[in-house]
Amino acid sequence: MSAPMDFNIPTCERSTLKEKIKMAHRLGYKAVAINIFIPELTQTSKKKKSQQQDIAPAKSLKLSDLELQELLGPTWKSFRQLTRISATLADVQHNFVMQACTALNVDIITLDVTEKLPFKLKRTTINAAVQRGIKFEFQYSPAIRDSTLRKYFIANAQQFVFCDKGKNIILTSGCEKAMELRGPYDVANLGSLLNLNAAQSKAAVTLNCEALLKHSESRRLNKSVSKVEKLEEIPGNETWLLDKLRVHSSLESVNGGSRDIAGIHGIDSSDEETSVDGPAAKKIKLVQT
Amino acid sequence: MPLQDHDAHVISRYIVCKLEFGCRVTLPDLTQDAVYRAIATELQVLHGDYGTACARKYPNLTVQYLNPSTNLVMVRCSRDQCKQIQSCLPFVKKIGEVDVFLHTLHLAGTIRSCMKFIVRYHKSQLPLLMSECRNPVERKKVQEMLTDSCADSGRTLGLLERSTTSQ
Repeated sequence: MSAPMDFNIPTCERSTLKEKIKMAHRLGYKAVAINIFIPELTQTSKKKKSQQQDIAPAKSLKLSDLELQELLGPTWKSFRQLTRISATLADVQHNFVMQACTALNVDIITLDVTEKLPFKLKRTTINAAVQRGIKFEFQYSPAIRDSTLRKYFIANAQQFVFCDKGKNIILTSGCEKAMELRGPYDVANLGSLLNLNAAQSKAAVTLNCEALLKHSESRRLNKSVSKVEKLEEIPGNETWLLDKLRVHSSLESVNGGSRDIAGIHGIDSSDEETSVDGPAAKKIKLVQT
Repeated sequence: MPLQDHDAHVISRYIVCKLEFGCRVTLPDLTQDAVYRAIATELQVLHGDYGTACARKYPNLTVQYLNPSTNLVMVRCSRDQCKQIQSCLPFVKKIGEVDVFLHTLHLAGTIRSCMKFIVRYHKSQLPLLMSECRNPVERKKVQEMLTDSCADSGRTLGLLERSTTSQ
């Protein structure tokens, strides 16, 4: 299988997280996303102070390079760790779902399959989301834990597949323990229970996940094909490009131009001084699927 | 004269799984019987009487091979029922009292093909074992096994022959 990925490993204490990541690596997953939940923000009128929780920055959620190396052994480099934030809708009604599918700036919509869906699934809303590239996620760990949850999982997921013909689905675990993870081949076999055909179930674990990653990158860039990055922010394994490009440091016009471009794309141009003598920015071509 | 009835050609599928234990210090010994019973209970829960009944016709659902040191299991089922069985494998949580799950590695039509896969799989696991060796004695053993296994491959054998004949 090409690059199976698991996109929902909820955060928990460090030791359990390490176990989960080690298990995911052993089972053959190439990328994993660590999930942090923002609890429903309820309106309590008395409190003036808003209930904004401090969300830990992405770096502190992931395992550091050293920890990863210790944990996974010699093949640690091919394993990617990603992070993700989930917000929950408190009172799920049809209008909210409609808005989420058409307007909200999200990558994944998770349908809670452990209870009866409180709203009716409509083909129009789902198609709107599919066109925008949003993926619908089903978690299989609840189904493994409990028998009644299993029935709801199969019922809700089948209903969804019926509405949307099996496109844009990803299967993820929402595992609480490392022992609730399953290998990618097994997860793809679960697709047959949900009326997905063989190709669609495989795609649910591999291709759709890759498309999701590209979609999340493109979300930051509005509509574009190329992305502009500052040279200082290039990740370590791509610094060889600097030599290849042989960038000269005295290009004023390029600097001015790149600054504008960064503005248009709405990139977090952390306004460090793009000094006149600083290196010019680097262009990356983004391949959209 | 009545026609002799011959057995129709039996088509089965062989699934190679690995028993994954999680982080345990001592790995318990499991029998083929215990693994079979775990899969059969899951089949009953998920596909009911129909599933269990289909698993009884020849070729029945059986656990053909279990390697206690590497925890590889080979399960046989009929080709028609293969999808059903594969769909209930992820739901196995416990075998006996032990928390285990099955990680499907390979699906094949013959035992021979499965065995070939198992040999390749063992060979690919040797370098990983190497990194987990704790003292030089173990490391030397694993290294010898590695070089032996490389020597089996056709290309290296050819190279060896050429180098010995040229000398």
